[in-house]
Amino acid sequence: MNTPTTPEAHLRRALRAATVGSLAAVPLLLAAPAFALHREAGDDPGPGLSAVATILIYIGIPLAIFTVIALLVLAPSIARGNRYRPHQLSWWAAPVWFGGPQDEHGGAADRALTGTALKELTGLTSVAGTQTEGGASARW
Amino acid sequence: MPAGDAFSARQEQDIAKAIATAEASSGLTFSVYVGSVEGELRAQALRLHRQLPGAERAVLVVVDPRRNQLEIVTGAEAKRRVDDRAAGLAAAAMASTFALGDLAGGIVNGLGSLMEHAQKAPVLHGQQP
Repeated sequence: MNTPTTPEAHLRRALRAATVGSLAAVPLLLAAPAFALHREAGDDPGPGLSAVATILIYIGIPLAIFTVIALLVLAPSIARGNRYRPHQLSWWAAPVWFGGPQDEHGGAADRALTGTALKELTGLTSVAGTQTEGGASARW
Repeated sequence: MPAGDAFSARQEQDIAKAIATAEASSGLTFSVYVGSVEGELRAQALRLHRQLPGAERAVLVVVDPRRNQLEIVTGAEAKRRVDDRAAGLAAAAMASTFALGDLAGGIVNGLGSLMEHAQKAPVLHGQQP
């Protein structure tokens, strides 16, 4: 890395340093009253916060807000209970067959085929020959 | 996760309503099986389909949430109304909704998609010159 030595380059570098330095200095200068050690005329500071009050205000209140928001986010799924989540191998609900062969669309009443019944079905020989059924499959 | 019902009462109503609507508007029978299936899914879906009364006119959707797979089986008569391409579209729509964790919504959407394709008039002599 070769440093430029021409006067223009020096000037440019000085300007760049001044710009960056002033950008950093502005927030610090704006916050200067926070570092004030001298009482000004007319100010009336109250008694300082006790340790308990400080903890309550600066830790307790944020924690309470955090908890309320977390509850608001989680409450619907907690109320819904057993929810399906993809890619978690977490499906233990009993099989449901809507519009199954037992009766008309009753939803939970149509527990026609349980897991064991399906295993028995597996033992059946598959019907060979021409495939008349159509359809499609998908994964997710 | 403890064993429990797959769907809430509200979701079961939604699915049952979607099935009833699809059957009323298409004349085909629709059936949805949701549960873990042992063995090869296509073969099991075909066996389930043959158990249905009037299997020729039946469309069966088998969803295995544990293996993240679904299968649509259309009977010989239903296949003329819902061809494999339409079934593939419905399967893709369902799978994409399932991937977001919404089983009941995906089933309702898929049934709607199948129903829309079944409503189209069948092309009877499309293969003839």
